[in-house]
Order: sequence, then C-alpha cells, then structure tokens
Amino acid sequence: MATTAGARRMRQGIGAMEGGAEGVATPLDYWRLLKPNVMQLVVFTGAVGLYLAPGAVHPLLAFVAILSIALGAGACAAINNAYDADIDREMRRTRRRPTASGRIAPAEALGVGITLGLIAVLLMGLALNWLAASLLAFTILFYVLVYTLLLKRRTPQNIVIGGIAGALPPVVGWAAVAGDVGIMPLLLFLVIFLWTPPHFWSLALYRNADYARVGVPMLPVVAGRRATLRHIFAYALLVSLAGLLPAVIGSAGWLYGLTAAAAGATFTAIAWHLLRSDSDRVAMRSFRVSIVYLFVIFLGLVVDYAFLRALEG
Amino acid sequence: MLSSVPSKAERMPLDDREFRRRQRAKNLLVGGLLLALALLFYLVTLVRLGGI
Repeated sequence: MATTAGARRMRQGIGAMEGGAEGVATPLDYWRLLKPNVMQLVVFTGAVGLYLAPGAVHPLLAFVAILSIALGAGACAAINNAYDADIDREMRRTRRRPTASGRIAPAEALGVGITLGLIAVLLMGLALNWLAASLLAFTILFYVLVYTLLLKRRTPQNIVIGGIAGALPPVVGWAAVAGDVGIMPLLLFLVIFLWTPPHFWSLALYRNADYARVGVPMLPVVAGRRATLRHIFAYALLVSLAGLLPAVIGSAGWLYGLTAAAAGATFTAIAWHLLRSDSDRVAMRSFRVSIVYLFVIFLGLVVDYAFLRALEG
Repeated sequence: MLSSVPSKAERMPLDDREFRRRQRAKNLLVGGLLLALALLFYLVTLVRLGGI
C-alpha cells in the first residue's frame, strides 16, 4: 500500500515538474539533494567507528569506506527527497529543497538515490569486506523502506524505530576495518539510537505547525507538547547514561568518561530546562545542544583513544 | 505567509543560453564523476592486489 501510494506521489511530482518547473538543476541542487548537513554527522560517526576498530587498513581503503558511508547517506537523502516532495513543498523548513521546489523531478532524485546506493554497497564490498557492505545495504534499505515509506507518515514512533538506520554508521565503519561487530560499535549504536528521539522531537516542537499541516504524526502533533517534553527529558537522561558505558566497561579511558559526563549533564540540563519552560526558543537550543552533544561524545572517544595509544607508545 | 506557489524568480522561464549552460554543467559533472569512479576502482584494485 505504502509503495503504491509512494508511486502515485512520485507520478504527481513528475506531473508537477512537467507542468510547472523550468530549466535544469545546477550542480549545487544535486549536492543539496544529498542533504550534506545530515551527511556530515553520518560520515563523522562512521569515521569514528572506523578509527576505533582494531586492526589497520590501507589509507585509500579507509577513504573508500568513508566515501561509501557518505554515498549511502546521500542515497537515503535523495530517495527520501523523492518520496516526500509533496509534503516538503508545504513545510517552511523544507520547501526550498530541490525536489520540493521543482528544480529536480522526484523520479530523477529516485534514480540518483538508487545509483548512489548501489555504488556505495559495491564499493564497500569490493574494497573492504562484504559484512560492512551488507550492513550498509541494510542501513539504506531500512531508512528507505521502513522509515520513509512505512513509518514516517503513520506513527509517532517513526523516528524512534527509524533511528536504527541513523545509528548504524559507526557499526559499518567498525566492520569495514575489523571484519566483525564487537561490543564497542554496539555501544555507539545505542548512544545514537537513544539520541535520535530527543534530537528530532526538539525540532518538531518548534516546527509543530509544519508537521501538523502536512499530517506527519510527530509526537508533539499526536500526543501534545507536555508528553513530548517528558519524552525528551527521559531520552536525554537515558542517552547521557548510555554515553558513560564505554568508560564504565573499560572500553574507553577516564578522559572520555569525564567528557561524556560533562556533555551528558549539559544535555540533560537543557532537556530539564525545556520541560520546565515549554518554550520554542529553548526547544531550538535543545536541538542545537543535541548536535553538539553527539559531536563531543564521539570526538571524546577519538581523543581518549589517541591519548591511550600515545601513553602505550 | 506560507505558500506552495513558486516565487516569481522560479516561475520565470530560463532563456535558452542559460538552459544550455546548466545542461552542459550537469553533463560535465556526471562525466567527471564517472571518470573519478573508474579511477577509484582502478586504485582499489591495485591496493587489493598489493601493488601500492
């Protein structure tokens, strides 16, 4: 059903393109189609997984692994843009996207996405190993089929379950080097998985009208602001505790432990402040702090690991 | 006021020269990316075979 509706939306998008849009997209439009801002975070977390993994690979192969993860993220973004062109057109935050504004037809975006996805998986498999390639393929398919087509427009749990796809890049990066999946990448997966809901619900709070207008059942639309605020706080607390686990089980050192504790305390404090104030301005701050939190946690792991290696060396 | 109606700039048809310029830029981009991909596959093959 979802696929049929999706195909209908695609055709409507193509019709809009034929009837209304003029000209050819610029290279910048194709770059924006890949959602470079999201790609940054995916590449960063994937690269950290690759860096922390035991073993070593040739620098060119490490570059190819990161490129494959980036291409996979771009594939997800392009296909998501193709499918969601109809609602993106109605939302203030997304209406300038190339497919929403008609500069790239949804069918073309779909073609770009499928091509990039195939290249990403093939490159990863041939250059690194087929476990990493399979995980990458699973990530792309999960994001497209489960999150975009099945969950996004149907349930407020869309970004909770859909968060699995966003949490997999460090596992892919680790598997690319190590050829297996250990406890550390699973902890990184857990951190991103728990981080995703408070990150997107903070955004949904101050973009609530947009989501309500297009009928995407984000938590604030379905359950109201108070319930969302409570959920944001609970998840912020959980992710802050999960962030400490690598230090607790001894996979990371005290330097990381201190960093994770400070970052977690900051994230939990802003979520608490948001719960008390119920303000769009604080929701926006919570969204930004969540991004900084993830960067700091992963950067902390890299620095801690480099520090420990320097001590050993 | 949010509207799905394209802006004036978006509604204006591109002149023929601009259209061709963008088409050419797109073709060059795709050609360049294909070349880069072929080179990358070649280098990966060399590395995997232990040549680099």
